[in-house]
Amino acid sequence: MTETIVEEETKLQEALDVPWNVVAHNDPVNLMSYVTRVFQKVFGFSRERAERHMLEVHQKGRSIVWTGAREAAEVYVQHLHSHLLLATLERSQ
Amino acid sequence: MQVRRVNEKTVALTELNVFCCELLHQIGPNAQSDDPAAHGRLFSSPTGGKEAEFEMDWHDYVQPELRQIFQSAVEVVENDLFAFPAEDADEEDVTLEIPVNHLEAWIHTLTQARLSLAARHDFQEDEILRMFPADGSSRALALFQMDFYGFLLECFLRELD
Repeated sequence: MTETIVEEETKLQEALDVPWNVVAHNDPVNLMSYVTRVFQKVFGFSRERAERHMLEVHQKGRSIVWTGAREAAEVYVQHLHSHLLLATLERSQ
Repeated sequence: MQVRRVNEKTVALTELNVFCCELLHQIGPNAQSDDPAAHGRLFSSPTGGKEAEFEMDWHDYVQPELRQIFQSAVEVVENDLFAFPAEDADEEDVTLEIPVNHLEAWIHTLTQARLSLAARHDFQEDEILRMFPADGSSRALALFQMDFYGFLLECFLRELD
């Protein structure tokens, strides 16, 4: 029983250790200038970097805007949703 | 209609006519639509449906917070529009003054209204990009509303730049 718990905790820890991506998805309604501003505000990006991500979203349908620990990724997705952007978190490949 | 900076603390929408005033009053109701498609867009999935348990927690704990954020922004806009236009206003030349520190709420609410309109009418990208002529339908009017709100959004974003 104890071994099972330890094994599950190890698996959980491994899952938490894997980097997670915050992915912003294309949305034809949100204005480009608005999306750029949200990236600047949420991630502290320079305007140039925020515009690069915005254009990647617009042209390729998605952009990985942040990678790191799971908990922080969840918080970033929540921030993006609070600004009405389409965003998901996914395990980094 | 013009959008101009009055001073450090105030932005004004000037030369508004009755029609523009009506569109402004519809921002709140459009932003707060209880249409399921609009709700689905405003409260989108955080994992693309890949993690059921996490999605349930999100629904229970995060969505109420988001709802409160969205509601607060709408309230700021609706308070700015309370008793607007004044009864004695010239119907063709109304001015709405907005405190600069309310612009974030306006930007949020205008975005909310545009997303809700688009979801409710199931607008596709080619319609939003106006690849077809307007046909006088209620969908065409909704597209016009989205453009009007988009125009205001661009102006307000520029004010905060």
